[in-house]
Amino acid sequence: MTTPQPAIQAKGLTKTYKPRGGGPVVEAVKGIDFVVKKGTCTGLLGPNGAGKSTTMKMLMGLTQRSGGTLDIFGHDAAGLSREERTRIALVPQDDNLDPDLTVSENLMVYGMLFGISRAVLKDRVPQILQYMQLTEKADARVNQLSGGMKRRLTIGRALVNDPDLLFLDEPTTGLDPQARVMIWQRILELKKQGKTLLLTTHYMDEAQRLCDHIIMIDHGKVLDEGSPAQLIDKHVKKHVFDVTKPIPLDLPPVDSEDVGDSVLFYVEDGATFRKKLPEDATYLHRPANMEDVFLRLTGRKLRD
Amino acid sequence: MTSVIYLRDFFANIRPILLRFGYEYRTVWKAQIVRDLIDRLLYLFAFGFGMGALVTSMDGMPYLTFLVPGIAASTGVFVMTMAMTYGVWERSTSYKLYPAWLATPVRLPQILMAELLYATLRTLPSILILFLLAGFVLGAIPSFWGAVLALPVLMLANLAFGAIAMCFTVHIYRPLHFAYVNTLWATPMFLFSGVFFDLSQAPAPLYWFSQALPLTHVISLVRPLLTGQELTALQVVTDLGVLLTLFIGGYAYACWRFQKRLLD
Repeated sequence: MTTPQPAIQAKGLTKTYKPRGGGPVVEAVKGIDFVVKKGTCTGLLGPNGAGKSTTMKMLMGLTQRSGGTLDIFGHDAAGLSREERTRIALVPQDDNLDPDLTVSENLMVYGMLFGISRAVLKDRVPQILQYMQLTEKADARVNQLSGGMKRRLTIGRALVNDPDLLFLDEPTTGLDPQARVMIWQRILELKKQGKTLLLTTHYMDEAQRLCDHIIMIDHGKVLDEGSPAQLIDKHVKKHVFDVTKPIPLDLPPVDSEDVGDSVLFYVEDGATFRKKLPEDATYLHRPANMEDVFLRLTGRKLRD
Repeated sequence: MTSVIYLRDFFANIRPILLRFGYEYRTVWKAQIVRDLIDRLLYLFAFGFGMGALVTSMDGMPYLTFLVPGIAASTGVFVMTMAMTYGVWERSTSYKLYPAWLATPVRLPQILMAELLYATLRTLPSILILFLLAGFVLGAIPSFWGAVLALPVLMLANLAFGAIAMCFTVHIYRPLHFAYVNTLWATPMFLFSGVFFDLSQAPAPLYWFSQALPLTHVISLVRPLLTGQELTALQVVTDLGVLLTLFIGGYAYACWRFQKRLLD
């Protein structure tokens, strides 16, 4: 049996650039390899400056790669045909909606940029507005929308060409919980429709909830990858005990990490460890999550 | 075959961006025409009637008649320069519309061509109103058909002015610096291209300087057309050649540099 062709394949992908105004050459992406399988939601995670957005830009052909190969649908990402481009859409990190147009004109023009006829768009634009709960705002200008509405419109705009492959660059950053939940539902529905999604986010609960596969990158390199469950299992075990200092003596020797006011203990068997803790100890017991993995892999030092 | 597909895609991709400008124009057209026209009319009235009272004839014609073609030709200098500096900056960098459009099948040369075409079309109503006013109200356009012929010449000229302004834009990283394009390029060209005085009577250095300015080559076509002066075939070929070269050359350079700037 042959393996089906992946939606995206990167090998030794590199991006270096000279900062404007001089200074040493910056290596934003240092030779990364990854594969995004068709019909999956893959998360590209990492701290600020890890190289996520640069990778996204290279995928979209918005910046030139410096080395390695990057294929989409089996063809070089930098030289996709018009037809292949119509199968891809991007939800960028910043909303770049057109402030000179109304909400529905934004979708109309964007659809036509993909070569979709006006007749088709006359039906599709109201559908998308309804899907993203923006129908009442159809004739509003973009700057009359709230942050959450803008984000929904940006996501709706990326659906106007009914893409097979969708890049979501921090789709829920800065949104209230209601809007995030609504956008998660939409993303899960897109996954059900068989679309391939590549997602970046700083919200680990979001990544854990939406992604089948996670690629952790930092300083332009892949740190590790796998399903959320695999990564949690591998790096932090199943349970976390956040024990406030002073730490009781004679605890079993398990994987632990000092985080200042408390120590995190990562353990496989929660019940056994709990019995070892003295009754007067102050602690918080919770299941391990992607946030633990993220912080363990990328460290706790602040980034700029 | 590849080039046929390229051309087909090229025009297919320009259309939606022009439509986008059409949507925008629907809401701003009145303000746009007033803005584009009003300072031209101020120059026309101030110099036409002020200077015109002192200078009774210039190059063998009434001063107002001499002035109208130059004022009409200079409309595009300012409209196109504004649109291709501040306007392009706004859409490409502050609104980030270019990155949004480039995430679709549209490519940069198509965006820049749509910018040029729209801005050029936008100058048409202003120039028409100027012609109607100067011709029918002030009686300062002797040749009606000459004025009709001048319109396509002015459109080509405006494409060239736009392409040149774009070449400045690709090298400017702070919108503050766009003011230099006006003060060091558009305004001197307006003053030294024979809008206000007969270049053939000007001192030799000034004459040669004026020949290096694109606006001179527009006026040397448009003034004979509007006033019925003689126009030689050589003159037509030279001036149109200059304008066409500037348009294509400027556009190609702007595409190349802008691509580098956006993609690096």
